[in-house]
Amino acid sequence: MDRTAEFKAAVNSLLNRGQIQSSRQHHYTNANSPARKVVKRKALFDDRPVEISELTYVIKQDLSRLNAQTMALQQHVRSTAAKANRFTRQMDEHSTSLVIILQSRLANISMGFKEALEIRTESMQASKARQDQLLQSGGQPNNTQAQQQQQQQQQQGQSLQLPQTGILSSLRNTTRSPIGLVPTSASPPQPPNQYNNYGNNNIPQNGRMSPFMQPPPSRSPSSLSQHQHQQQYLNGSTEVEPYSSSSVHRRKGRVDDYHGQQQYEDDSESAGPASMLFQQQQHAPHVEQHIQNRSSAIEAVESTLQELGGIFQQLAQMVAEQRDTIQRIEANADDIELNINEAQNQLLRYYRNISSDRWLMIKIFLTIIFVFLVVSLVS
Amino acid sequence: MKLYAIYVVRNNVKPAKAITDAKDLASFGFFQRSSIAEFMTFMAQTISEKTQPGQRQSIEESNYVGHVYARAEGVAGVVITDKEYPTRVAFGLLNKILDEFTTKFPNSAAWTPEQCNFAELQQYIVTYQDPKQGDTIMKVQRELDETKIILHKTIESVLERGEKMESLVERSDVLSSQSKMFYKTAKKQNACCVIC
Repeated sequence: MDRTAEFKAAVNSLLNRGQIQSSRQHHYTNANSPARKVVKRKALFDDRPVEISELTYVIKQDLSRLNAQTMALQQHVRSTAAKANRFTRQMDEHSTSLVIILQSRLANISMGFKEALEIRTESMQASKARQDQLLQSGGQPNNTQAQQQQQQQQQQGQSLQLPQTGILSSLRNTTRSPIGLVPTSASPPQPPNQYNNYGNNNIPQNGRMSPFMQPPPSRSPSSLSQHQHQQQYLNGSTEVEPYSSSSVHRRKGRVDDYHGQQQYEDDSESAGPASMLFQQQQHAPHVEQHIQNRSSAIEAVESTLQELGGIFQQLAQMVAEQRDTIQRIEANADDIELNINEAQNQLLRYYRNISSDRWLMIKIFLTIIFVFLVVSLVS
Repeated sequence: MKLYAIYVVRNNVKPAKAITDAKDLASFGFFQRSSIAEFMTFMAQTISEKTQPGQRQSIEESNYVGHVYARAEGVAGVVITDKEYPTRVAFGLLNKILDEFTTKFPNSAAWTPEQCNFAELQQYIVTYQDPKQGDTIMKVQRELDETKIILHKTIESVLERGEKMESLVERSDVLSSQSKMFYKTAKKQNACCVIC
């Protein structure tokens, strides 16, 4: 943060000299890195809502300040470019390109910040859904306090999101006043003022910066007019229009993310703590819950059936694979039978030959007699 | 998961009055049963008073949970269980009971404890003690799970069968080659030159 002050002083002091390039870049990157670190750290702090809200606040401030300074820089560059000196033309081009680079870097950082916010809101929604599930049978009035807190944090955390996704959070925490949307939570009043100040500097904006640096209109009605003012300057930035129109939508319907439960929340915020009233308002969500229970049980049955079907198919496949093996075995067994039969035939023939062969018998006798003669002659 | 009591309460009059009930307090000590029964009756009557017709609620109280379903005719069914009993099963039971009750005693004037004898309640308590037994969906789910287990075993045995088939193939191959050798030897015996 100190660096950015230095940087601003350096910009002002070097205004006349025009040797802005290197120092500017240096200081700016130094200013950017703490913001980046904070954004990265934010992703890890999943379960510390207070710190998260503080961090988001700090980050928003930093981003807006950096944006303002880049705007000032751009103005300065344009003013120097107006001189159109032949010697300084290259320097002007260089400085304009540098400014563009810096702005794109800032845009990337704010994109990362936005993604981190989205992740955080998703996790908060998941935890909230879990809470609701756990506490559904018991006393639900205990939830309202926690829900209000969550809503506050979501409100603060989501203020930098793109307008279409910002409807959900800002709706919960705002009362419908005729002027605009006034936050009912105890969010710090300072950011609106600062955004207003920076918004005035933001007017000559680059098209890329607009979706990220728009201050949330839910904070103050004057920023709405700012946006329309910005719109006149920007050519064809489509994000601003749906932003202002979405704020109109916000006044009317409710965004039902949690069906009847959200209705219940808003109602219970306005209703008294009387148990009768409370039970009446719980009527619709409870019935829905019951029906949802049934439907989920039936879905479980259906999925089990599907699994069973898959298992049967696997079984059939395995048996079909084994069919080939069986065929091989069968072929082998046939071969064996054939071979053995043939071999038996041969042996039979051989035996027959041996049994009925006179010529062979005579030969054998002659051999025996010959052997006897030899033996007797020798002895 | 225990089911303690089922009540049918008439809640179109204030104070609500229990028409009929069935209790299973066997898990409590003998001397506590009467006080617990009174407490349960009182709880059933209170919560059915506070329930609008066509509304379902689950109220948690110390370590009991009361599930109440109020019908448009002016009766409400209350089921008192412990905390683990699945809500869905309780409400399914309530639906069933109230349907039967209204078909059996359609005359709303006759809803007094003397005239209405709903003996099936006792049976239901017994059946529904185990929620998996009583509720249809849970029965189906349970049978499906058993079938799945059986199928897993079947697949394992099929795998074993496959292994045995493999060994059979090898052995039949060996046998086949051996029989071939046998045949050749026998043939050679025949055609061999005679010892001369």
